[in-house]
Amino acid sequence: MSDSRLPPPFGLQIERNRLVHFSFDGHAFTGLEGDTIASALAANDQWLLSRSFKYHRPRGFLTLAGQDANTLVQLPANPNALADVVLITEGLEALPQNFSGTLKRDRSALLGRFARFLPVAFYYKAFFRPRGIWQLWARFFRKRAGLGVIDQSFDPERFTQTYRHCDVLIVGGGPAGLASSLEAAAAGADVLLVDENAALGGSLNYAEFGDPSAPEGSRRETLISAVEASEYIETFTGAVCNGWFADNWVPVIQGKTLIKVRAQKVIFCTGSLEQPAIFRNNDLPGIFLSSAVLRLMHLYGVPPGHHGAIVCGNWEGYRAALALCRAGISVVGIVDFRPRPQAGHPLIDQVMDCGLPIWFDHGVDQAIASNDQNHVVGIDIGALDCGAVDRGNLSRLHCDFVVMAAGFVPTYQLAAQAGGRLTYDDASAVFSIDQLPDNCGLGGSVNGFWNIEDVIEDGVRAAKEALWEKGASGGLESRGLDNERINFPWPIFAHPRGKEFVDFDEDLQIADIVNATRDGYEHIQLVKRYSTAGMGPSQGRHSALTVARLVADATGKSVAETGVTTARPPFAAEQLAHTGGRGFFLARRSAMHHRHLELGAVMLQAGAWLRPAFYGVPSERRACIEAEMRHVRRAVGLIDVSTLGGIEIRGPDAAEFLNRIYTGGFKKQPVGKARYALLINEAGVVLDDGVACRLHADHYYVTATTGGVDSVYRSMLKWNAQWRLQLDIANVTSAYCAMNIAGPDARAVLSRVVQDIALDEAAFPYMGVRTGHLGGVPIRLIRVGFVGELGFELHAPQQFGEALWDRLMLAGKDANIRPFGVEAQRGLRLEKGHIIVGQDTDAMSNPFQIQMDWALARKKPFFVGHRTLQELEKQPLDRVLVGFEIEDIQQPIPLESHLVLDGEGMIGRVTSCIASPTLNSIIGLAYVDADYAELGRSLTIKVEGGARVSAKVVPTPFYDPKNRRQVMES
Amino acid sequence: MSASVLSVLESTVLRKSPLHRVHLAAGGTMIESELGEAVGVYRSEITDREAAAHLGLVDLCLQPRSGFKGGGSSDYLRTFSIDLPSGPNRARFLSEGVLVSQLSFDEYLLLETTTEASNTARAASQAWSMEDDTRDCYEVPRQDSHGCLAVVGAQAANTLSSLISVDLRSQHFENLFVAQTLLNEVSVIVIRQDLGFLPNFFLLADISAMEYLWTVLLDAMGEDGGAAVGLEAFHWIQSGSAGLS
Amino acid sequence: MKQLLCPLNGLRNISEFLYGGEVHELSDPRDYSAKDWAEHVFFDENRAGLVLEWWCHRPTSYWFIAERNTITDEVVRSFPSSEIFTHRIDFDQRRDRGEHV
Repeated sequence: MSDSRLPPPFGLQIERNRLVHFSFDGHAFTGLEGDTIASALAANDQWLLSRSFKYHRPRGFLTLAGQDANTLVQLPANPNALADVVLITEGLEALPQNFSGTLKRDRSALLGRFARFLPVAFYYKAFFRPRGIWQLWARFFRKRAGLGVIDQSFDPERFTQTYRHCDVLIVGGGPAGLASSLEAAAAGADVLLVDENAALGGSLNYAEFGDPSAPEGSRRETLISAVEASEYIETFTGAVCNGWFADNWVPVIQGKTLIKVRAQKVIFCTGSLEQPAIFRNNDLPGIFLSSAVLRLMHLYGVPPGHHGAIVCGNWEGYRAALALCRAGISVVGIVDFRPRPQAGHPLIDQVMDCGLPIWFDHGVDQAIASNDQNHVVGIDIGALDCGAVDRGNLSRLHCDFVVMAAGFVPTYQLAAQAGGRLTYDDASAVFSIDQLPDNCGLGGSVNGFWNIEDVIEDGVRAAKEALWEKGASGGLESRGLDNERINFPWPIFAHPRGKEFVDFDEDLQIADIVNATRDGYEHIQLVKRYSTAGMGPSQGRHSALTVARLVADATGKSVAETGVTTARPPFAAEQLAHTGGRGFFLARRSAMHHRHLELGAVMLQAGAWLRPAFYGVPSERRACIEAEMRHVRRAVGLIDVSTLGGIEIRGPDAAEFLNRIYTGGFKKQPVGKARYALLINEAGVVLDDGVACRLHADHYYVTATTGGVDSVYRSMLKWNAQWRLQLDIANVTSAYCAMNIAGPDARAVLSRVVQDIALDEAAFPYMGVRTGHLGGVPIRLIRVGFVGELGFELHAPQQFGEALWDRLMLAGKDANIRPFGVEAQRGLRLEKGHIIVGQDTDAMSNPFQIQMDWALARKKPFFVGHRTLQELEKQPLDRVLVGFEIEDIQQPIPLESHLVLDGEGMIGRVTSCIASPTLNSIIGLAYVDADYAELGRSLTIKVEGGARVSAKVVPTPFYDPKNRRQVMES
Repeated sequence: MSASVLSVLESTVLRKSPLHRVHLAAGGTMIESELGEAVGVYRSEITDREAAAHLGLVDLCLQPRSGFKGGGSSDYLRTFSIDLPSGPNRARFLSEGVLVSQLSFDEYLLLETTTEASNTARAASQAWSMEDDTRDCYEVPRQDSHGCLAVVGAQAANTLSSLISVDLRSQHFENLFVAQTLLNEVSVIVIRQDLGFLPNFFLLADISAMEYLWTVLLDAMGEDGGAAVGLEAFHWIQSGSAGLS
Repeated sequence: MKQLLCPLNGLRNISEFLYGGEVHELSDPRDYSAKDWAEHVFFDENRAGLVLEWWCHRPTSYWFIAERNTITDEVVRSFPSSEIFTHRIDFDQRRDRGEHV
């Protein structure tokens, strides 16, 4: 099958002896190693790759460089794969996309006939009336919209990420990039060279630089082998720089890896993108950009057809014609949009020598499709009159492929993201880029150089500037813009029957763009959003220039004034898996974590921590939680509270510091005592709470909430960076394991193992703090009552956590000690009326609303938020956190954030609620407007499903209001 | 008071790493030392040593360590004849096997890295008390707050570069440099201390995140052919055998 | 991703830092009228140009001050907070009593 291939040196990238079998659209094909799906299909004379998005028109390939949407195909696990990028592998199964019926006979292609009735902004215009009609139409359109199919049963593949630092990142491995890399490396810089193609070389691999005896071959070899030999250059090929972000942070995607590059300097050697000519049926399979034809022949050795017509507005068309002649492919002639140059041109002579006819000052009226509409079979051409084709006198050229050479646009996207400004010179009809920041540079054709020697020299200059700062390049002079006019200013030939495609992705024709401006959307940004030009997969790579020209023409402005739309990342499509990377989520575990698992705990995520929700089976959740609660009330339970925050405040100013940070008074707190500590911010909003234990005159151990401790710690550090008190603040949360042993039998169990602390009521009263030992391990014991029973919180170095847990469980065996989880704890504390900051408070809660006036030491000269509280106290209270009760425990249980109503008006919301096994009623906390806070007041709560239940405002604590349970004598 | 309960306690307070169960599940062979029970060999002595030279992950959570901060901490440490690093985010390796890292303008971390290391870190910790706080030096409980791992071997920098955003190219992150950064949202202290010709990075991070970090590191190391290795292989590299062979 | 120069840890990705608001002068809240106090608590100056901002390096919990140009988003310099907050600040208890006499 390789017979059809052109002989070497054509076919640079293929291994002629290695056959690869694959299938497309269910048909078996054979290609060669090194082929892309597209080139292998072309070698098999298959030119039809896909159907267009809107009109389902047949499409082949335009660029063969992975830059157009025509080549999107479906791979088993990957929709929208680029057929001209993906290399074939043995057994690969590719399918075409976006067709109904078969690719070659698409029923939906009829849509094209109705294009007249599908004007620009069709959706906006057609489906907004009557109200609601869109909902019906949407079902139909959703089915038609989008490309490709996601295989939802696929096995997740491993994607990964890495960081890479370098001195110089060079984007693009063409002649400029190669030369730039070598120059930077020679100066000792650590260089990263990235190219999206499978091999380095860029245009050196395929472009015609003038001399058919091909010195490019040796130039290419020299540059590439020097780059490969350099120990200072690391090369990534098949890798796309997908954006530019602040401070030269550049994501590079290579296969399944996202490389997050941080470069001191970036040099964009991104080259240029060739642009199509715009004429009727310019999208037919068999119509290519000149660079695509050269790629096809030089890289893959595939002839584009048998008889080609060239349509061009620059010399690239002539160079392509000569290459075709060299390959023995017939060229029917050159249609040159320009008048014959009076001075002549060597390329004209060379083409004439090959016997090719040239029609100067001619344009294309339309391309002619084959009977099955799937390929080009000819073009109608005519003389140009003021830029338009004279339709009175057309002649037809019969051909089976067409080569378009109308001009180039610099691949400006990344440079524009870096802050470069794209300007258009109306005289030369080319874009150029300026105003790049100092840490970025441009080299090669993206910088406006076309002559190969200039391109290489510009790459060298860019490297020098990058390494020695801008403007310090030491006398190196650029040769300025080439004399060669690379762009024809108006390669646009409107046809009365339309179908001159401006944007191939979105099937937009000349009239669509012009009509957008007539509908009043004259600004280029509005034209884009109204017409969708440039919004398809190729992001305007081949339409931005034409759209700018059409809008400029329609609005009477220059192209420079009109400009192009903003280029944003990503440059190419990327998968969510690239950004997801390896996919791990932080889970912190306490020292007793595995004991919980062994005891059958159902774990929950509390902030970053894993904590036991309850012990038992998920299906018996409520029963398990209630049993744990009852057991704490009746006997003794043990809970792991290691996630509690712990902060050591040490130093001569420790008490003064606490006095400033927290609302309460701490200076007179005796050593050996704990005090409740409430933290508010300058706006008076409650942020956190805990207990402050005075272990020494100059040493407090303060607890904080699981979720709050990190910000509390940072806030403390920030305040003291300003106050400069003499003390140290240390977050020791993870250094201490903590467990709370609670219940009537807590003291008895603890006394079996604690050696040197007297636990009786007189020696160790409520809110006392003691240090001592348990099994030789130093411990801190705090008499607390969070769950409303006699309880001791034990804090110890975390490395002994598991052993201490075991010890307490063993010591409590006779007392039938049982572990309890977070859910039971939440229920128990609610019965006791204790709030949880963050659950029962929100971003507006102040101490008065939560009825914690008692926690404020108003006589202190200062504490954070004090000044605001003074003002708040003068205002009437707007809302209050109250306790409520629903006596009938069979009623639906309100959930957090369920509304409290008066009639239909909202007067508050629930913050916590449970069916209390201890009290045999439903109890909870809710914010209500202050007018509704009086005891005994009846409240209506709207629960799940909209039902109303009646509740009553009751005093808290709900359970043991006289605190007798916390002070049980042994 | 039940005497039996107490006696059980004392005999079982054998120090274990937070990764103890992970090692057991992976088939590690445990050894006991004065520091506690640690994984000696993961697979076999030979494979562990080969892995350590290429890319190995070592659990050093039992290694003694301590920390001090405050304006007077440098003076306090000098009373133990400890040579301090040249400045923040630099480390100094003392001849007796103790790695001293300076974490901020006035904070230090001591890590006893070898089996033969002196007990300097422990001694400085044990000598400290709250009664003497006029010297403005405060002990921080590094032994309990932080776990310690080592990523060692020829590919060590490569793997770490895929996880942390700090520039680890050797000319930018030299031997005995310290970086405090984030690794998958966990704060880590990274200390480079090459062992002979082999790059070696100590990683200290919140003890509660050790199991998470171990999983993340092993997963990433898998991409470069790395594996968990036991203490024996790490000590072999520390002793210089790897450099000689 | 932007980078920020930390006086302790050097140049790091901005994701390692937390923003701590503008640097305000620290004076005794008792000196403020209610209106001025509300301004102090709820308003930032949000000037176009150079501003002083608190930043915290998360892995080390290190607070420092950065001077940033809000027009160009360029950080001109960053430095330890002790350059601005040089003295211990106290809130005099007796003064308060005196006012009430």
